[in-house]
Amino acid sequence: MTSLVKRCLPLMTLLMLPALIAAPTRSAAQTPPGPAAPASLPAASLYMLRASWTSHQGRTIDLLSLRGEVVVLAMAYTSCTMTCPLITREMLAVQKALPPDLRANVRFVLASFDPARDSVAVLRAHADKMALDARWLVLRAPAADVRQLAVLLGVRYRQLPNGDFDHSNIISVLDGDGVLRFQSPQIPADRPALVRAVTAAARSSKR
Amino acid sequence: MVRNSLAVHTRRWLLAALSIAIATGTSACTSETSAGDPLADRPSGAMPVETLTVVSAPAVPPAITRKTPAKVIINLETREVRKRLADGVEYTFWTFAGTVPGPLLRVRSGDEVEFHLNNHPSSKMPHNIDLHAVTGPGGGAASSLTAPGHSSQFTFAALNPGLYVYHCATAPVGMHIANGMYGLILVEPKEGLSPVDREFYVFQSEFYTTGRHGETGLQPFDMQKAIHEDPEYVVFNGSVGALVGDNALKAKVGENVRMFVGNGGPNLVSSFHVIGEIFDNVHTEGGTLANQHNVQTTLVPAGGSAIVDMKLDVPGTFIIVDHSIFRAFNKGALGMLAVEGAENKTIYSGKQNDVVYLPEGGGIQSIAPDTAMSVERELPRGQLLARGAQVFAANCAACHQLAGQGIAGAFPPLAASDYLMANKERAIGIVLNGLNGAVTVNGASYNGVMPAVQLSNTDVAAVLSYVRTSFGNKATDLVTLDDVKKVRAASAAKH
Amino acid sequence: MPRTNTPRAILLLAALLGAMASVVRAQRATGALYQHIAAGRYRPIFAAGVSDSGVAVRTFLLATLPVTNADYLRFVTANPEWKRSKVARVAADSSYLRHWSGDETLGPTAPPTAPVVNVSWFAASAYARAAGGRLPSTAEWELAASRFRRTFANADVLSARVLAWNGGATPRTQPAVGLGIVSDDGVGDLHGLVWEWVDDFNAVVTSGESRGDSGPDAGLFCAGGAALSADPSNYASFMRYALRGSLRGSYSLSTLGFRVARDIDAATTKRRPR
Repeated sequence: MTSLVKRCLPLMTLLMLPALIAAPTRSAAQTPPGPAAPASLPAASLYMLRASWTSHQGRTIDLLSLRGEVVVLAMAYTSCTMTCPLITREMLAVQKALPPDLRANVRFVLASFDPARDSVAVLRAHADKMALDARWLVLRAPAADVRQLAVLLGVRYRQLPNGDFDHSNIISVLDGDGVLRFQSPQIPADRPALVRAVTAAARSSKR
Repeated sequence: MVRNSLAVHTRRWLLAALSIAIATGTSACTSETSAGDPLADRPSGAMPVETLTVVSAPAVPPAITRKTPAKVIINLETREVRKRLADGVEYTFWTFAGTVPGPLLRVRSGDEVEFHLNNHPSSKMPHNIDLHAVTGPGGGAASSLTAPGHSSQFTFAALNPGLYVYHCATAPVGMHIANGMYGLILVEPKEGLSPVDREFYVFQSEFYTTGRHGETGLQPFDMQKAIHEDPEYVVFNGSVGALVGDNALKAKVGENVRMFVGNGGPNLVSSFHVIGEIFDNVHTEGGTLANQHNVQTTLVPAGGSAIVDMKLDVPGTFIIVDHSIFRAFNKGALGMLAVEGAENKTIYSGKQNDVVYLPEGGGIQSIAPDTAMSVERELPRGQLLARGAQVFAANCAACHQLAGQGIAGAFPPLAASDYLMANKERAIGIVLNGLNGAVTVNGASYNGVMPAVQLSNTDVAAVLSYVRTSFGNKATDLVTLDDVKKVRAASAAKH
Repeated sequence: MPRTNTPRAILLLAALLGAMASVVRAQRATGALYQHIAAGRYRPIFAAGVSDSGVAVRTFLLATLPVTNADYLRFVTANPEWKRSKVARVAADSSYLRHWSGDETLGPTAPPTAPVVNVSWFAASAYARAAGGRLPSTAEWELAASRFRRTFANADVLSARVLAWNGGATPRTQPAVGLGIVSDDGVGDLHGLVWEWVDDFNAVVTSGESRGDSGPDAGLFCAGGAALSADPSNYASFMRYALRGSLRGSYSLSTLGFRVARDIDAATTKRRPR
């Protein structure tokens, strides 16, 4: 029997190949956290779905690394001349309105829809132009990761033939665990409500 | 000086008084017509919370008795349901709460409404809701788009009182409405509606099916017919016969009945009418004013409503129709209000009389002859008088009455008639040629028209012999064939 | 050869042949796994900012049939973080795989050959990636779904057929894939079976107040211009548009499945998926 099996083994492997191909196996992207992620992350945390972003300072950022800080997050692109600058201004105003003891715990993040045109250099220039301080991150990533973040946030967008984007004006507030706590859907935003939401999330994270 | 200043003072005083009067008068006018702020009586603390009980048409939730605002929670499910449109005909309806129309929602002006739209997981389509009572983007539609198996919530203040349509507004809107997604929301004014004995909910709409009216089986929606506004079905409450027979609306004589009438379209305007009744009051287009009275037929716009009420005075089955009448009889826009109770003959007697109708008019007409006795012969007395009685009953009694008494002011009597008995030839002539003009019979004046009666000579002789020897007339001689022929010839010679 | 070992050898060979046959059978039932969809233009239902002739779509490969319960079971077995009891709630809501009997048991309401439903966008995307592909874009899917000249006289007839399907009740248990209409390109079940996820389902830049959709709400959206409906009588497209606009990535619907697309380049390199 064993000699038969030995002779048939190569044939068996060859024949099993289609079956192996037909069954999709583990992939790298879009899977819940690997061993690096702590098991205590809440089920509703956006950080459960991993992605790698590059900041305007050229650093690789995993959003999970923002754990512990409250994150005020919006999606925009540097070539946008309509509401994107207004979105940034709303976020700057919220930053200014925060109680001083909380400012060190809150991050402000802009994620770009437009990896094709928003290179690291472009993002850095943009951050300088808008006078964004050290609490700010302007991020880029490949299109698939941009889509995933937008879907997580409920942000709608589509690209136009000229390279511009139609998109939602949503500003989101994530708590220290990456759970979505509040969203402002429109511009002009309800600034007091945003400040209240960020303050509440920051105070509960501190505890 | 003093007089002048007094005059000035008086003038100023008068001016002030006048201004006050005008201001008061104006504000009085304003307060009569303006609604005021419907949220003014909201308490500073929390309001009582109630959950709306949902009932199916034609039933209506009971009138609101509280005099203060409340928070009302409404849970409305959207569900796609396959069921009967007409006998043998099925349709996949898209519904609120599984019924067409959706339930009538009832709140009070000033209430806070927490609305939950729940889309059943078996739905293929997302749904939302536009309530015409809502002041806000899309009437709520912008905030309630709900995927199958999910639920959306939004809150609104019921500001304006009135009767409003609600419907789904998901793209393609025409199809969502055409498939049955509509209903009514009643926002009662703060003082409530006037009390009635019974309230009903009647909702008209159309259905556009690929098959013709009555074609059996599951019928799909036909978009071309919808665009051309050519429905196969126009119905009340979602199906043919929904308010007919055992499903008729029921009420009692003496009751004041109110109908909340809606029209979901999607295309047609309704000419709403209840056969045999008149609407005592109509809130045209569902507004807060009972602005018209004594209305036979009221228009209900597509996506609109009307409130009608009527006092039921007599029993019977009153047919509810869209008076664009082919819709009622050929497409299904027909319902019934069955009213029980005692009759009232003064208001409606029912059929009183069923008699032969012989047309008369401004000129002398002829009555067609009885052909049975066309053979001319002299009859013996017994037969003559018997025949005369028959001819009298068939030709004369209608006007002169069976006992020859006539009708006062209309037809002269033949009974003991001085005019009749005075001249035999004249009597024969009247039967042959008719009579036009004033006559005095037994002291009374008559000015009518008697038609010439086309009888054979035998029958003329018979009927006159009979009349002249009956009803108190005491002729000793009979009328003979020759008498009749002589008068006939003389009449012919004259003309 | 020792006589006592021959029966066992024969058994082994039989099992092997059986396995081979089932794999071959599966492939034959579906024909080729992917079909060529030639390049074309797709006119979106809301033609904002696109040229009159629409969006250009490059040649790509589209799966012949939607992913089945059996396909998805193999994926879950190999990727246990996508099991019903384990999946992160942010990636799939509580309706995820609710028609299955268990984490790795299909049960009577999930026939192996029926299209898998109750899967979220994240789950569908993960499956597609594991299979060496991706979800099709809206433009790709709609382009492929418009090619039915061999079956239907014109677009109106196709639209009427789609409307009729929408008018029917959702079956408790989905029928098998491969029994429905086939497009000119040989793709089956694009209409009449289940709705299908697309990669950019969230490209629907509208508010849900569809009567105002002649232009995106300027407060809610940063948008280039008016969004005019290209074909107001194309109800079937409107329905898909409305459905996509109501979805979030974590939603699992009993009428929503998916199929895999691939770029032409990826296929020709014959990469073995990791």
